[in-house]
Amino acid sequence: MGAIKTISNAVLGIIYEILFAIIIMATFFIITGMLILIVYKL
Amino acid sequence: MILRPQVNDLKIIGFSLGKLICALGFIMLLPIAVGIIFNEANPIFDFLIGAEVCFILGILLTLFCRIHNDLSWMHGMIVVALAWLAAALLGAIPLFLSGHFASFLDACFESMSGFATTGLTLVKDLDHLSFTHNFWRHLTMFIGGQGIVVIALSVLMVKGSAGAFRIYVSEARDERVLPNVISTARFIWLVSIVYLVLGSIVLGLCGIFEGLSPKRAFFDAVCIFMAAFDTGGFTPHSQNVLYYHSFLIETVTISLMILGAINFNLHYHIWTGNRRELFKNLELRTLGITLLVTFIIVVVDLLKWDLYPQTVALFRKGFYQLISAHTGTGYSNLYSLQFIREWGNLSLVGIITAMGLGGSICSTTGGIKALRVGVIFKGLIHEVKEIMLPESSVLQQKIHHLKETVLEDKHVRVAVVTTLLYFALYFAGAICGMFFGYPFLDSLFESTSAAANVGLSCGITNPSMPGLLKGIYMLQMWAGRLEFISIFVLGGFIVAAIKGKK
Repeated sequence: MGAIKTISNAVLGIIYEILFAIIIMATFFIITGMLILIVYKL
Repeated sequence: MILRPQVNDLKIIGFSLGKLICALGFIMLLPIAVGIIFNEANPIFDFLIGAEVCFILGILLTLFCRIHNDLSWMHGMIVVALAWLAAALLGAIPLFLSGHFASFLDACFESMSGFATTGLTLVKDLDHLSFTHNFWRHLTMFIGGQGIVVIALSVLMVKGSAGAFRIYVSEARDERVLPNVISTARFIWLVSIVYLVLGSIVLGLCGIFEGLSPKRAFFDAVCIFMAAFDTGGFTPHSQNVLYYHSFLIETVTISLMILGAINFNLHYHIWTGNRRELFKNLELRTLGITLLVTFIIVVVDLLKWDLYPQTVALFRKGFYQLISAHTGTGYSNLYSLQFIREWGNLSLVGIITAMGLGGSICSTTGGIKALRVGVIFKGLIHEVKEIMLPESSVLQQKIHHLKETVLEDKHVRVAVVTTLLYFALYFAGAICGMFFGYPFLDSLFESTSAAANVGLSCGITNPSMPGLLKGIYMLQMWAGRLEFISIFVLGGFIVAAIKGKK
């Protein structure tokens, strides 16, 4: 049971980290769009 | 008063150095497998020669310096400083034998750039370099990113002694992930190997999707993974990531650069169930804030010059260069000269700032590092609060980095000293560049890129640049990767050997 928990924790950890990287990327993509809107509107 | 080192000191250093050089010899045998797969006979001999030199030198050192004393802090730091120099020199042998370098100095530059995970390159006609040599260039990044000592600890020095811990810390790794340093080294490898498999498969599939042959796609995938995750910056093609013209590959490499910039200690916490740490950690929060600030600087300037008026184009050019600079990777989907000829000065300053700040402590990145920036900022807040509160009040500033810690003066002092040393290194390189006739901003850009182990170039680094400047950039990469202390101790050791009392 201990080994299964360790492996499932590690797999979930990897998924979290990859999602984290994707979220950062998506956030900055949205910020890019917002900055374009702000700068060109001004 | 300083004491002259004894023969035993030299023997202790020589013995450990010999072991590390033998480890390098074993690593040099790995590209031979690539040579066999791609049917390249001549490069295989280049690596056999390189490995042979390593084994002869390593075995001679261990035989002549055989001693059973454990390493002190001084010995550990000197071993690490010398091991990185030896790796750059010996790793250059097969590269020089490839015939793609104008001189042995250029091959040493490439080797140092690889081991220090910088990514500045002096190779000529990269697109026709053999697969075997190309693999070695990327492997040096993978080895250097994890740390030469980490490899030796994982494979050769299986005894978890105090000396092992000392050489581990000397390699600019301030934190142990696990109580045992050998387990720490093995965990660092576990993270890297897991991501190597995942990243290579994803990048390989992207390559096939973009029209590369499966063999080429997976070779490029492994190389790009090693350089992206270890925040290196080499690619198998002369046009860097621009060669692929692929948004898909760019997004995957952005993810890999972010993952590579995360502290290995934080990887451990996330992998063992403590996933909230991802959002509470001071280092990651600081990284997010500095990334946002530098991004706004770069984007506002790029928009001012109307260079990339569409969201996708601005993201692909602006954010890609910035994340590459901030994580110390050095991947670029621009031509070097575009930085200088197209981008404005403000956006260049944004990129230089991002390069100088770097990623996380105990990761594969270079530069000042986000935790130090966070600690200095928290220290500043503490000072302001202290002035504003009544004199009788007692104020305690806490920081959250893996656990709650009370911020002490010594934490801020160490962070400030290291930051100042990095600034000195960046500006010293810039002054040298100006001496050779390059403009200030170009010199500062290239110098920061070398010292923070980034690898973005504005065009100064090329085979025809002055030899002395190549040497200076090599020293900057070495000092930046080892975070100064090991090099200062080596300098002190040499002074003690000359001027010390018996």
